[in-house]
Formats: sequence, C-alpha cells, structure tokens
Amino acid sequence: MENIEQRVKKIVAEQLGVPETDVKIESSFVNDLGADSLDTVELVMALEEEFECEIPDEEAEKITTVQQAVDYVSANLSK
Amino acid sequence: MKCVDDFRLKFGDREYVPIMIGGMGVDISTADLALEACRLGGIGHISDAMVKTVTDRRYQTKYVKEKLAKYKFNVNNPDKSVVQFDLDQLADATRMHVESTMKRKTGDGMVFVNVMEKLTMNAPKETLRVRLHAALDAGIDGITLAAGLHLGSFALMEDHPRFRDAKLGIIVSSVRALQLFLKKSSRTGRLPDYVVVEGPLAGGHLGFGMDWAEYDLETIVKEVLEWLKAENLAIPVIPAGGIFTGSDAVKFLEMGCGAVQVATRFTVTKECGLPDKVKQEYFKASEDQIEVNEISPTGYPMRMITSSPAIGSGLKPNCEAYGYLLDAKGNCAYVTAYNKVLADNPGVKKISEIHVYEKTCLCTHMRNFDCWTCGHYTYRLKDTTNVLPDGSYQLLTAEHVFRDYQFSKGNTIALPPVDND
Repeated sequence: MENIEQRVKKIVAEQLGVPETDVKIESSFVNDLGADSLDTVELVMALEEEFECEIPDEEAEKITTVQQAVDYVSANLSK
Repeated sequence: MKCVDDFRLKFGDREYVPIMIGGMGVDISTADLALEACRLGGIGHISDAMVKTVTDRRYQTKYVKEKLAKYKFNVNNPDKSVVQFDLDQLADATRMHVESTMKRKTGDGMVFVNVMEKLTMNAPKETLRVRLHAALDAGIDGITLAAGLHLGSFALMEDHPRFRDAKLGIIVSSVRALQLFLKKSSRTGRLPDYVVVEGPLAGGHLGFGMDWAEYDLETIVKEVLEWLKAENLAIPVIPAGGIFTGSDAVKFLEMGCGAVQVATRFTVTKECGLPDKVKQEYFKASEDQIEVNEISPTGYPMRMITSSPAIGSGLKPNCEAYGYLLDAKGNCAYVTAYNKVLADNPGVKKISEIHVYEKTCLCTHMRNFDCWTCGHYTYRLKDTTNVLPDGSYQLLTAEHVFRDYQFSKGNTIALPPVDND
C-alpha cells in the first residue's frame, strides 16, 4: 500500500493538473503549483474523499502545502 | 422582436418581471430602490454591508459611536484583533434594516438582501450566521449569497425555521464555483432557488483574477446552463455584468436564463443612495476612467472610477469604528499597507501627506461614498439621460430605468421626459 505522502502527492498532481514529479513535499499549492482559490477548495474535497474524513473549513484554510496536507491526514487518520 | 416583458421569472407558481436589481453595498442599493423594483413586479436588493452604519444614518441608532468609544484605546495599535462586533447589536441592526424595508413593501415583486461573505468582521462564521438569521427573522423574501464561495452558508442557516421557505441564491462566476457550492451544500438537502452568474464586466468586486478580460459572461452562462441541464437541475440562472439594454437582457432570456441582474444603470436614479454630486461623477465618467484594480483589502479585483477619492488616500484605519473587513485574526490588508507607508515615511505628520496606493480603507471610503465602484459600462450612462441647461445630467427615476429594461427593443435606450423640478 502506498504511504500517505505518496497518496497526497498523487491527488495534488491530479487535481492541479501538474506532473507528479513537480509535487514536492515542501510545495505550496498556490505559490509553487499555480493553484487558484477554487483549486485549493477542490483539493481539500478530494483529500476528504480519498481518506474518508471530513476536514472542517477552519482546518482546510490552513492546508496550503503538501506537507500540511500530509500532516493533517496523518494526524487525523491515526486517531 | 421580443422585449424583456415577453418573459417571466418563475419561482414555484409565482411569476415575476425577470429583472433583478443587484445589491450595491453600503446603502447604494437603498430600501427605496429595492422597493421600486418590488413595486414594479421585479426583484430588488438591499445590502447588509456595514449595516450598523446604515441604521445609524437611516434610523438614528448610535452603534458606530458606541463601538468607537469602546475601542478608542486601540486606535493607534496596528493590531486590531481586540475589536469585536457585538453580535446582539449586529442582529438588532440587521433586523431593523430589513424590517423597516419590508414594512413598506408594495406590489407583486420581492425584496432580497445581498449578504457578503468577505465581510469577515473579525469573526467570519459567527457574524455571518447572525446576519443571515436576523435577515430571515425580519421577514426578508430572499437572500443572495455574495462575495465569497459560501461553502458553509446553507449549513449556517439550516436550523432557521425559514430556511426552506425563504428564497436563497448564490452568486458565482464559474460553473466550478457552482459545483463546489452545490457539493458542499448538498448535506442540507436544499438546492438554491436561483443562481446569479456574474461575469467580468460587473460592478465592484469581481470573482475573477486580474485576467478578468479573458472571460466572457455569455460563455460562462452557457456552461452553467448546460451543466444544470445535464444534471437535471431546474434552477433559474440570472446573468449579471454588462447587461445595459433590454435587448442585452433578451439575448440571455432567449438562451434560457430565468432573469437578468442589473445595477449600474440604477446608480444614477433618484432612489439610489449615492449623493447627487457623486451621481454626476458616474454620468461624466469616460471609458478610460473605468478601471479594475487591486486596492480592495478583500483580495478581489474591484472595478471603480479612477477619480475616486479613495484611490491613494492615506487615511488612518477606522477599524475601531467599522472593522468590517478584519479577518479571523483581526488583520486587514489596508492596515498593513498603511503601517508600511508610515514606517517608510517617519517624518510625515499630516494625514494629507500620507498616500497609500497599495490598498484602500474600504470601510471608511464606502461609508463616505468616496470609493466609486461601478460596472464596466458606467461610461455609457451619459447616453441614458438629458443634459440640463447648467451642463449637469438629469437624474432618472428607478421606474424609468426599470421600464426601459422591461419594454425596450432593438437596443434602444429611452431618454426620460425633461424634468423641470
């Protein structure tokens, strides 16, 4: 099974339409990967689907990099 | 050849003239203007932007003075996080504004309120919830969710007894934004009653980036109509932005839209809340004086007249009195920009010597009608009226403009009868 980081990177690449090799753990969705405000909302929704969790809006706003997404998913899946 | 009056907007078994006057913030869309649209069988909007300021002016409340007195100790502090809205007062002010309007309603139309998500008010969720609930309490016919994606707004209202009875709509600028809204709202089991599709030529804040000119209202409307059809969703679509004549409107109604939303032509009516002197500025504006810039602290591009006093003004932030744009942490991009200019110019003492071009103090300038936000075709307003002997332009009545939209054919614009007042 793929680990969380790989799964997150795959979703980010799919959602933002960028090659997976461009998606680094430190990449910022907006600054590095060219996401607009709708992209970031769609991305969070895709993460919710993939990991079968609900990310509250207040938390969703704080997820702006691949690392933050991985951290959030890791923290909330292990609960 | 058809005119707008050959069509009707249908909500359930009720029919309306398919003309909606868009909500123009901080009392530019006055109760008087909204009530005229309603009387004539269409839909008018009031706005709840800076509602406490509006009730102070209209209904002699003292909210702003009280708030300033309470937080005066903080005026020189760049950190505005302490400045909070009193939620009870906010509810009272909203109810007062809505109730006073609804009490005067005549005719077969409806009055809606425009509620902007970007008015984050240092507590985005709590203040938005209060504004939505208070408007429903006070008997508003409908709420148009504006300036934001409003992904959580239906959920904020779902425990209100009128959630399913009031008309609720959303403004979007793309089919994607609509899809996100519907997906996020689906849990409430309620669809919006209408969708306003606002294109790149609309007035004030835009739901696009600075690449707005690459988009086109007709294309977006087609995408939305096709997608709704494919999903079997019968939600009236109401295009907005640049619809200047009845014929412009007919083009969209023939495409299958439910109504049109218009506003700019009403900025120069007697019922509009702008001071008469400012209305003349709208009439006078030439095409090269209409610009889209990035000075709004909301982060959205905004269209305005280049001679607006707000542009480059360096006045001290008034968050202690207003503070409608403070985010959840008490920040506003104007406060940051202002303090940067102060730090870069340590010797400057007089306010008149401070110029902030990066952002504008939108609360203060909107309150004072100094930020002349407008639609793209504002420069055509001069062609909609007569020039008076003194060289000024004759103000119109909302009824005249409404009827012109309703009955005009062949792209004509009827001039008003010469006013001898």
